[in-house]
Amino acid sequence: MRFRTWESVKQELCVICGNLKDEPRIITVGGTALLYHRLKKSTRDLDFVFTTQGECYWFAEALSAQGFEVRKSANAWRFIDFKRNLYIDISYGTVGDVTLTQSMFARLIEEQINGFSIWIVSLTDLFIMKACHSVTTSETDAIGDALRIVEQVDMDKVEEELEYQSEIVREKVGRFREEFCRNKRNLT
Amino acid sequence: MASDIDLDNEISVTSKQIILMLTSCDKDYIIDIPTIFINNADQIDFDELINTAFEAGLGYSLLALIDVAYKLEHNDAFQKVLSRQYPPNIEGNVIQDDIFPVHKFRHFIKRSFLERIEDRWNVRIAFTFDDFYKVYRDYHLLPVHGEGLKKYFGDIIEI
Repeated sequence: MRFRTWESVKQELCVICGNLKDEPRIITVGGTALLYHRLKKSTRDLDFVFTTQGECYWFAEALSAQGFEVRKSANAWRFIDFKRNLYIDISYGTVGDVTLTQSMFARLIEEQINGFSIWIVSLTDLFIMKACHSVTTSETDAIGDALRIVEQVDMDKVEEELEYQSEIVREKVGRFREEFCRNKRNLT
Repeated sequence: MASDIDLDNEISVTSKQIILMLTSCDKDYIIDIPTIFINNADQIDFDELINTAFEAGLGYSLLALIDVAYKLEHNDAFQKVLSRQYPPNIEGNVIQDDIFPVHKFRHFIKRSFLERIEDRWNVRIAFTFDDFYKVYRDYHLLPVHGEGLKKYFGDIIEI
C-alpha cells in the first residue's frame, strides 16, 4: 500500500486515533512528513516518532488493538497490516542520530484530526534527519530526498538547530553539505 | 503525469503506466518498478511491455530493470525475456532521478552492485542494488516470505 496524499495519511490516522486510549504527541517524520510538505509523491510506510517511551507505548497499543503485527528492528518497531500491506514505523526520542529537541518542537506544524493533534516536523529538521541518514547509508533515495529539501530551507535555521545536536549529527550534516550541496553547484 | 499513474492497485498496472514511471526521472517511481514486476510477474504481458518500451526508445532501460528484478528474485518469466537476442544498444540509455542524475551519482557512489546489468544492456543506472532492494524487502520479501524470514531472524527485521 502506498500513500499518495496527506489526506490519505489523515484518514489512516483517524482510524488509529479512534483506538487510542490516551493522547500521545504523534510526530510525523520521514517520507510521511515529506508528503505533507509536498516534496514527495508517495510514501510506502508511515513514520512516527514520540518524545517518550510511554507515548510510543500508547500508540503501539492502539495499533495492536487494530490487528497490526509487530516486528522489531535496531532502532524502531514496525507495525504491519499484512492484509493491506501497510507498514507503520514508530520509535521514540530520536530519529536515527538526531535527537528531538525543544527547538525542534517549537517548529512543529500542527494538524487536527478528529480532535487529536498530529505534529509534522519542519523542513529544517527533516533536512537534518535526511542528511544524516544519507551520510550514514549512502542510499540514493535518502540523498534525493535531502537534496529536494535543501532547496527549501534556511541554512541559518539549520545551523541554529545543529547547536543543540550531537557532534555526530553536526559532522554528518556538514559532510552532506560539503559533498552534495557544494558539488550540486559544481556539477550542474 | 503523476495523476496517470495509479499503483494503488498494482494488479492492474499497464504497460503505459510502467513507461510513465520509467520516464518520470523520479526515484519514487523508478525504484518501485522491479518489485512491481516481481509482484505481478504472472499478470504482466512482457512481450507487449517490451514492444511498447522499444517503441518509446526505452527498451534497454526496461530490460535492465527486468534484470534487476531477476537479480532480486529469480523467476522464469524474467529469464525468458532476458535470454532473448536483442540488437546491441548503440546509444546507451540512462535510468536516473532528475535531482540526483547519473553524473552526480557516479561522483558520489563508488559501487552500485548493478555493474553487470549496466554492462549487459549498456544502460547507466543512477541507483544502487540497495535502493531497489529496499522496496523489494517491504513489498515482496516481508509479505511473501515473512514466515521464512521469521524462521531465521525471529522478530528482528530490517527497516
